[in-house]
Amino acid sequence: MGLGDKGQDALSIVVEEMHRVNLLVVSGRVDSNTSPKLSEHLTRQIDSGAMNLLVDLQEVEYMSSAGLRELVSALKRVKKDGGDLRLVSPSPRVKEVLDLAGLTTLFEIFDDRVKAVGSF
Amino acid sequence: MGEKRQLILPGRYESVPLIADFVGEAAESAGLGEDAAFHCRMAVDEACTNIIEHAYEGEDKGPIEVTCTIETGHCTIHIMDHGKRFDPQMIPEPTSSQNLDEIQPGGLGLHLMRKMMDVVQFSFENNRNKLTMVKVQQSVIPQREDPISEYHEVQPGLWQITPEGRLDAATAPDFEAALNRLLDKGNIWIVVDMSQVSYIASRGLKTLVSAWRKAGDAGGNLVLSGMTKRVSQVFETVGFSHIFDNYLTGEDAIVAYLGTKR
Repeated sequence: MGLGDKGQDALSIVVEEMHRVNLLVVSGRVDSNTSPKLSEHLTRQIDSGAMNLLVDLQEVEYMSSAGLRELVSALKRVKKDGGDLRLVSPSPRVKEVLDLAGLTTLFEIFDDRVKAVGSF
Repeated sequence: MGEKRQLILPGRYESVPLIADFVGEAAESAGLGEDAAFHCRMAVDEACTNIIEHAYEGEDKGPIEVTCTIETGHCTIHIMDHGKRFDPQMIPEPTSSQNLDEIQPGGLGLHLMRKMMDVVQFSFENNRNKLTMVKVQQSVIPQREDPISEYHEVQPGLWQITPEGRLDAATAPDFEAALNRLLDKGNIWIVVDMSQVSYIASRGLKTLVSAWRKAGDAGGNLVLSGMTKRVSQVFETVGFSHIFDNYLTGEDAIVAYLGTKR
């Protein structure tokens, strides 16, 4: 059985480095297959000294706890250095999962990318 | 018993979306609607991920076996594995605390399963972990009806309590408080009139079992009467039907009580 579109390819991440914040535009599925890829990108950003991260979730059709875990652990790391990880434009499905997991109070969530970037 | 579907796949991450899709389609066949089918998909994703990570402790250590029983408005999912015995009590409930250090991401998957499904029950049978999850169509459940839990003495020493509506995590605490008020006053012979209960979730079952145990420990009994078919299905699914004495009507329960007392 090949990985196909259910494997790592089901997730793509584009990073845009801005003045005060690094934006990660995530699209596709974030589940136990693909969460290592998200982890890798987040870790790379943090290791290179970025403390302010913005994760754009508009194109994320699905996020399981495997993805939430990566977001929470990245948030923990940047908070320690006085930074923050904020989310922008989660779909209703992803928003529901964040809600049920009790994470909407933990993350600052924006529905507009410009406002989100400006918040840093 | 409804239509039964089965899927067995190797316990590896790339199987997980396939199993989730299989269950999602079964849920849709049961007429559960898009949102409920999504909840089934997601709960199964979390369950299978946990099996690979915690029961098998890695990929390709054994199969994941899934069966779905489809009835109108009702989908029962069983997931079996041969891995390490799973005890849900070892997994701490994640707190919704805002304190980052208190967040235990390990229990998130289980937490989401419990939020998304009506019943989540773990057992260990024939050397296998068996997870039972049930999802019920939302529209057949009246939204947030409070169980009023009226009680009165129907015979000297015999109390009847009548919860109404849905017995779930939101409403069971009120019902539990009412049962405890009865028990604390030494009223240990109780008939729970289940005829007005539209649905019962894990939390409601737990409340009944704990009250049944308390009544029994004190030398009394807690029995059920008038269960609807839907509710009795839940008892059967989780294997609780043998615990309780269960009467068709409240009168039958009273007659049985008078028989014991005579």
